[in-house]
Amino acid sequence: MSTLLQALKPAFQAQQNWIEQRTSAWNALEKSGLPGLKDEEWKYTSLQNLDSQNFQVIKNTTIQVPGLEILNRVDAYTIILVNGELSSHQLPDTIQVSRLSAAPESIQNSFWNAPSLAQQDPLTQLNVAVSDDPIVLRLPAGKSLDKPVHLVHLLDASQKQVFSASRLLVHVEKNARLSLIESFHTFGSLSSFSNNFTQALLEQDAHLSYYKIQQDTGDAHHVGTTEVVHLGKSTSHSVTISLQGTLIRNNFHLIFKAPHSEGHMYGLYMSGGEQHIDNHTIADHAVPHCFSNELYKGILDGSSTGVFNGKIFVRQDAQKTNAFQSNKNVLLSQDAKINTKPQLEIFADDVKCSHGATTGQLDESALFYMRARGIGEEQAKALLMQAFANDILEKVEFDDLRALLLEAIEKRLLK
Amino acid sequence: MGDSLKVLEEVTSSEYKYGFVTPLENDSAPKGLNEDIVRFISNKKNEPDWLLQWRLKAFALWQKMEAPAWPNVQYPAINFQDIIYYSAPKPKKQLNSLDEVDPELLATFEKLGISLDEQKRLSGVAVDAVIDSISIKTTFKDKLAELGIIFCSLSEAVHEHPELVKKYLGTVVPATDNYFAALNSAVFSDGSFCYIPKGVRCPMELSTYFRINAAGTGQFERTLIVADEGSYVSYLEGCTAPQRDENQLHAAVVELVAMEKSEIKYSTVQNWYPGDKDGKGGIYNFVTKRGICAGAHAKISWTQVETGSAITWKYPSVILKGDHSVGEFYSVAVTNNMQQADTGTKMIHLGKNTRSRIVSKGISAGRSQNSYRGLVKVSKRADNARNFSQCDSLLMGDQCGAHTFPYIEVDNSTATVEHEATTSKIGEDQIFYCNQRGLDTEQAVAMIVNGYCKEVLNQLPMEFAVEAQKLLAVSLEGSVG
Repeated sequence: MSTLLQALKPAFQAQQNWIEQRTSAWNALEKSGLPGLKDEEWKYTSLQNLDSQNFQVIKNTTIQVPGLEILNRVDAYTIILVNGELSSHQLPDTIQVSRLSAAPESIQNSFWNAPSLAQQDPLTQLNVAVSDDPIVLRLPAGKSLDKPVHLVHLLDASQKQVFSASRLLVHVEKNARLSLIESFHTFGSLSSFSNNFTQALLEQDAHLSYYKIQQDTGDAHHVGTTEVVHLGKSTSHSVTISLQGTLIRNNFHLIFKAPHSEGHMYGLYMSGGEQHIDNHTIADHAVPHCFSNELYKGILDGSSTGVFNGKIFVRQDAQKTNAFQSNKNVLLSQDAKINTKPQLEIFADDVKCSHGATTGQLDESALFYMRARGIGEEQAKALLMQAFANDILEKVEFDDLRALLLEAIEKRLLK
Repeated sequence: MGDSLKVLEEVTSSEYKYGFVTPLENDSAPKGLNEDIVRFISNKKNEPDWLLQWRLKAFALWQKMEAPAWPNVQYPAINFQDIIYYSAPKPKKQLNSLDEVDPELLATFEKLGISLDEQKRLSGVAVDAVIDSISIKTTFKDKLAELGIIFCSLSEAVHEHPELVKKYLGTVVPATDNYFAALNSAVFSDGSFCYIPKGVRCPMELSTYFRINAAGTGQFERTLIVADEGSYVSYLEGCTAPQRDENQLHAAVVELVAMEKSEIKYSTVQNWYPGDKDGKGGIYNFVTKRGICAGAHAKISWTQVETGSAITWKYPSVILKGDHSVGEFYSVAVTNNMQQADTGTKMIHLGKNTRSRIVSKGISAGRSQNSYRGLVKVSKRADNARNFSQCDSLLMGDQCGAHTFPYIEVDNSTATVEHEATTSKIGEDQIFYCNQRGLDTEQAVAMIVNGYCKEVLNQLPMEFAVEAQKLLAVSLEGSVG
């Protein structure tokens, strides 16, 4: 068994609830082991380095929540998790937060029976097996909040290499509207590994805006899965921004279970140094008349590696589906690398589906135009990059969050 | 357009017309595969020892390999012991003119519409015909020899030009490459060999026609084409097989070597028996095709029209090693009824300023599954590499599937790689427009499909383009309306 699994086995064994689900996940994981480069889904992302480190689950830490810029600047209701454990939250009464084991049985069942595409994924199995009792967020029918809910994942890697797993279940009920931000922050000089699984269920006429912000300056590793399930006719809008982190793997799944639903997925990844950023997305159309749209953009510098895999499944009954996908990359340095695989699997005929992928450089003539007008080369490049990134940034609905991200990107570009 | 419609009409009502069996007497090896069979084949062909050793090495490798599971196709495991690996029409003797060819055989080619007959020299195509395992007849050989062009069966080349065969055989597709390439290397029976000397522009199209005739056999041919500096050759390949209820295996290897400033154009019209409406029978077409642009400014162009076979598994590829070299891939893949196709290409950019272009058009109908799988790889040293890929899929009917699996690996910041793909069905408005102008739906669909494929069909030599259009219509018969 791999070092990582061996180290985490006690954490699985110590769990008190959902034994049946955990055991089946763990057994499957133990049987398959961590995925290697021969697994199609992990062809370009190696977990070897992760496996060789001595990650541990560390509970009961009492770190002072430091002055995080994102907390100061982005106006939101916060939920703080430290090393995967729920630490504190400031939420209005409108939204209900609880542990899954304390939630009504109907809620428990709806989550365990929720359609999922991640059941076979070993790292999601790991999460199911070792994460604490899942946190349930419920926004009741017809409700909406004046501010987004911000889930802050803090990892304390000051003493030991820390592993944290957390699982979040979001239920947006009929005609409710929720905005959710997840961000990740490691403290201390040692490395961290966060393994998250977020599932969101959208009922009739519900809307979810979801933001995943990865700006973790530590030696941070992240493998996370987000699944947005359109149970009723509903809409979703999600933006994944990955700026910092040693190794990032985001799985994002959009699952359509009700006709006339609509989902948008946007992503921006900027990597430098030795970073490795991997985005795997799926838009799964199982019912007719749905619309999915996806745009992921990458800027790769240093000797970093970017990976993009976008799948569109259109199943036999999903007639009248419109599904679009696009992935655009710019390589800034000779040693940067991008592996992209936009994939369509279509079993229905009356559909409109397309995907596109490009890899290239900055437009020479645009650069020349700016330089002819007295803008220095570096600055001209930065400006073009910023325009490139802006296609995604403009999808961020909150001004304070967008300004924060824009600053971070500008800083990176004009380093 | 009027002509192409006539062509379509003419064939829309016909079934697989190449499904006949020619009662040829065969000289076959016993069923099964083991080292003795490899020796038997080698012995039959009176091969030199180095080739036998080469085969045995490949066989040893194959035994350790496993059949690939990654293609998006489903079929029961192949029993490799239930296949006849060598079958040659009798009598096998040295042939010098057509008079000596078995009249039954000639009739077969007559039916296939192949101009083995040198009277048809006006058609200007030199043909090497391979039935079951053996190359039957190569036409225009002498005329080509005047220019120094070598065009003969591979087994002949082994004896007459051993230095060339030895130098290039297995250099582009080594036995280690994949499961079926290893199998082919061990048991390949014949195939075509072609060498174009320096600076020669081959004056006619060279062509190979493959036919599986005998029951229970597999066909494992191997084609090797070498274009020396500054030469040009256009090569055509066609395939048919009789209608049988069993599945037959075709595992071929094609290797192309293009030296500096040379160009190879390789066109295939693949029409192996696709099985009946319920997916019974048909050919398993597991083929490895690859070319290398070994010198600067070399060009390799693959054009394929894939309409036959129960299962197609084939990725004609180009290794762009020479600086400024060019690789092209044009493909129309049609699947109907229960056919499955997993086809595409690989463009491996190694040299500087290399360019590649991929145009793939998939059409699925009936209950078939059609996948495009491609790789564009730009290596670290391939400065200024350029790729454009377009793969479109057309769906006809709600029981079929169209899939796209493009892999793009870019390891150089100066590369420009573009990929785009669309999937759609024939628009009702398009059909309505045609109906309004007096074309019935069947005609409208035929016209739209032809227009959709035009970009690829235009790449085919004239004679092939007509045949390909006919094939398109036959393959889609019954799926429109």
